[in-house]
Amino acid sequence: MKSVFNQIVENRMLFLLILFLILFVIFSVGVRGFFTFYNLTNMTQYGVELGLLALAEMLVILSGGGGIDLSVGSMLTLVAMVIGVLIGRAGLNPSLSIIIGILAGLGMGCVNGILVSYLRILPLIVTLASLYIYKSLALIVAVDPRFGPNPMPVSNFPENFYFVGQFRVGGIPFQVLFIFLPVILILYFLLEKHAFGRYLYGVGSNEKAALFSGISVTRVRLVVYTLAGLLSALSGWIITSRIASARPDIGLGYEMQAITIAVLGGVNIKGGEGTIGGVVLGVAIITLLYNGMQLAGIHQIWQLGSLGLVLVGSVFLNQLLLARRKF
Amino acid sequence: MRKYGIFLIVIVLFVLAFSPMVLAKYKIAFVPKLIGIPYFNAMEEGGKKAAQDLDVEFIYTGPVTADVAKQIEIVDNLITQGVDAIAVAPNDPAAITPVLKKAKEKGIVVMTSDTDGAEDIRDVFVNQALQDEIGYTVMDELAKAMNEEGEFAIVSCGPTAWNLNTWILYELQRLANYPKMKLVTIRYAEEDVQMAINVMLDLINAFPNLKGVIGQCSTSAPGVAEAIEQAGKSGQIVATGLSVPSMMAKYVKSGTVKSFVLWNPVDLGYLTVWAAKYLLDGNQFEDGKEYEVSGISTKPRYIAKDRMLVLGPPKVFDASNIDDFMFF
Repeated sequence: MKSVFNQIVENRMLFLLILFLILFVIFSVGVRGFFTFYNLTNMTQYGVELGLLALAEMLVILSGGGGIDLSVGSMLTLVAMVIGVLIGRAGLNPSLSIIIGILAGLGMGCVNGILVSYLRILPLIVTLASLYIYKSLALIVAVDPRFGPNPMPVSNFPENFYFVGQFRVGGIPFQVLFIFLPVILILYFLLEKHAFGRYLYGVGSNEKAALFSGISVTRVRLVVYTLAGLLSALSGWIITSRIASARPDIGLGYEMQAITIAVLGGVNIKGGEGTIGGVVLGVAIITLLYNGMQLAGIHQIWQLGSLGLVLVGSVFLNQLLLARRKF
Repeated sequence: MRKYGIFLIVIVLFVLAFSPMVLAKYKIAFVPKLIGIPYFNAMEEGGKKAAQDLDVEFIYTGPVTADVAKQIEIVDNLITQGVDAIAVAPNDPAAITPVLKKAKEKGIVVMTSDTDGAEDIRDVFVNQALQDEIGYTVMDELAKAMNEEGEFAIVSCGPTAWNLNTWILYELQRLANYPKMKLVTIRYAEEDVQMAINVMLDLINAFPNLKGVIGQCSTSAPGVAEAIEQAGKSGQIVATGLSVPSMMAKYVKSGTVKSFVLWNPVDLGYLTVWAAKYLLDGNQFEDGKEYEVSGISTKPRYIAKDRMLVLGPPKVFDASNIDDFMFF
């Protein structure tokens, strides 16, 4: 009995898994319409966009050196606008437009990475600046000359553009099966089985030691910021397809939610600590929580605070249990 | 284990006891652009009143900011909840389409209210007032305040706002009825009260014979009135326009604004729920027919070619009635 208790307390993932199961049981018993195949598959689509951003935050925070990326929401917005304008206004082929949009995301992430790792500017400052710059670029891209100097959303997409955000395979949203799950698997492989993972954790937990053992700290950091750009770009593509509209105001405030989910998932804000499983559980808990609360008809103003409450509550409970164990 | 067994039985009994009550009533949901602003609070109040009068369950839920993605998610979860009718004031008329299509496929009555969207899918659009009637009424109110003569200006907001430009078009059409009135300029001040004040102060200097002004949106109408008072021109220049009572009361009381135009959002909320119930009961709207709706002060009219139910003529607010509408 004692050892199980210890494990729960020490293993963040197990702790989150139990939290997830408790919420799941409460909603299944107490909320009508929650425990149905339709709802359980349908709600997964709402975890994908934030989930990809949370994974981006995880990579960046893991790399240490004050690693954080405040620009993920803005990168999402700019990629969404690039794809939208290329398809909807320039009439470009959708596949080509999506590739250009994703390359744009890679480029933006790469710029962040260069500023952080080669010019050695603090990540907080770099990405705070790029948050505003990318957002402003998104507004500029959105300007439609036919309507004067004002940014306008783009909504005239061909039907085949919607497959990634609106199609289902056996009831499960396409983007969950063919983008989110593969991304999780690839990142798992990269972090747990590949040398890159060892480098990343090494750089994050002790920069000097990593440097002395021959790891290129700058290159590792450049890679993670670029990957963050890529993940944000995927997220921007998916949300545009899902809501059938490219808007310069989507993605607003997503960066904070993404950081919160990463931290909830057990990523140490100082770097070097955290697992992909924990972050995926964090995404699952938040998706479940939003869905269950909405179905229960709980007022939206409470949902806004629930993310913060779960974060503080889970960390507090974890520490409380840790402290008790010592006696 | 037995304890849990009893617990489960209690829950099952509880659900069984309450489910017939829930099933008996229609569930009608309204999703505003955002919650927590006076205008939509007023619509909620009307919806609640209608739900009481018509014996239906009214669900009012929406995003806390005008968030397009969140609004879609909320509508999707209402579908999961199994509501009978969903009315939306969409933040993005195109983006709301896929989820409303899904609702319709599930047999839910789908409506838009306050703002239109998904025109091909929705069953009906509950419209606060017709564009032409709004434009005509604003022009008539200005003409009355100016004794039908003199120079006037229009201070609009976003230069590309489709609804504002349409209203201006109809105002100019109506101007033909008032040959002694002359429009000197149209200026734009974004959705910003301070900017409207600055624009109006410039106009007062540029056009010394100015006798009237129209503030075309809810921020420019109080803005131009404030500018007139700051410049000490109250009594020489009158302001009117489209805005909400809470922002205009000060200028109505001081006399700078004789009257201004909007509609009653409480009635709009009431009519939304009423129309949902009407359709759920299996009724069809008839073209051109005016409907008696007991809870509201106007007689809504149906226009079949647009599948649109119009609340009525726009409402004129002045010193005689403004105190009754200070809640929005």
